[in-house]
Amino acid sequence: MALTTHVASSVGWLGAVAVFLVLGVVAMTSADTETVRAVYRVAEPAAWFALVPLALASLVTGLIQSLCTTWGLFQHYWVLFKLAMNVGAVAVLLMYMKTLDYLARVAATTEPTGHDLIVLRTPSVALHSFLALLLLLTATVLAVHKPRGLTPYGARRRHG
Amino acid sequence: MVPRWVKVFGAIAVVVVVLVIVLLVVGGDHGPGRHTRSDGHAASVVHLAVTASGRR
Repeated sequence: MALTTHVASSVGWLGAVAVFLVLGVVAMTSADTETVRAVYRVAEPAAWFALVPLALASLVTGLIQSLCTTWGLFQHYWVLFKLAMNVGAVAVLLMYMKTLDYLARVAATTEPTGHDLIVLRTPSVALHSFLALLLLLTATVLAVHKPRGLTPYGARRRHG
Repeated sequence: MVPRWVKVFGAIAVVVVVLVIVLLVVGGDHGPGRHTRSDGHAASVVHLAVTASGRR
């Protein structure tokens, strides 16, 4: 159950980030002002109600999954790297929500100024999404291949 | 014995973490606050950008 939830939430998170990359590129490149504004009107609730819950679910189910199985949390390097990546990505996402909230507020302005439109065409969302996508793809590769390697703690537990 | 892939991942992780810290420290304002600086710097940069694009 935990494994299924972990895989589903992690893959869902990956897909959601891919959508945000597309949205970021659309906002950056679209000549249509209404399209640019619509991106952030949609992106903010989508982040709060899809991206953040999926990220937190991935982290929590990953913790449960590793603690309740023989893999452990600190015994294998691949689990340790995945944990670090997951915690880092969730932390950056939660901090970045302030930026998304701000962009949504600017997009909601009745008559956006030239300054507002320049702000909305920021490459920041596409860049953060791209980096997050790289990170999550790396985590997926680790999860699928589970490369060998015991941490010193794991080796002690195994042989001690 | 630490596997080679762990050394490679570790090195990449250290570089990424250092890079992020440097960007946060040297880059100063990172986040929405940089768009709303009260010193007028952002506004003047935007004004210049708008003026320049209007001349094209």
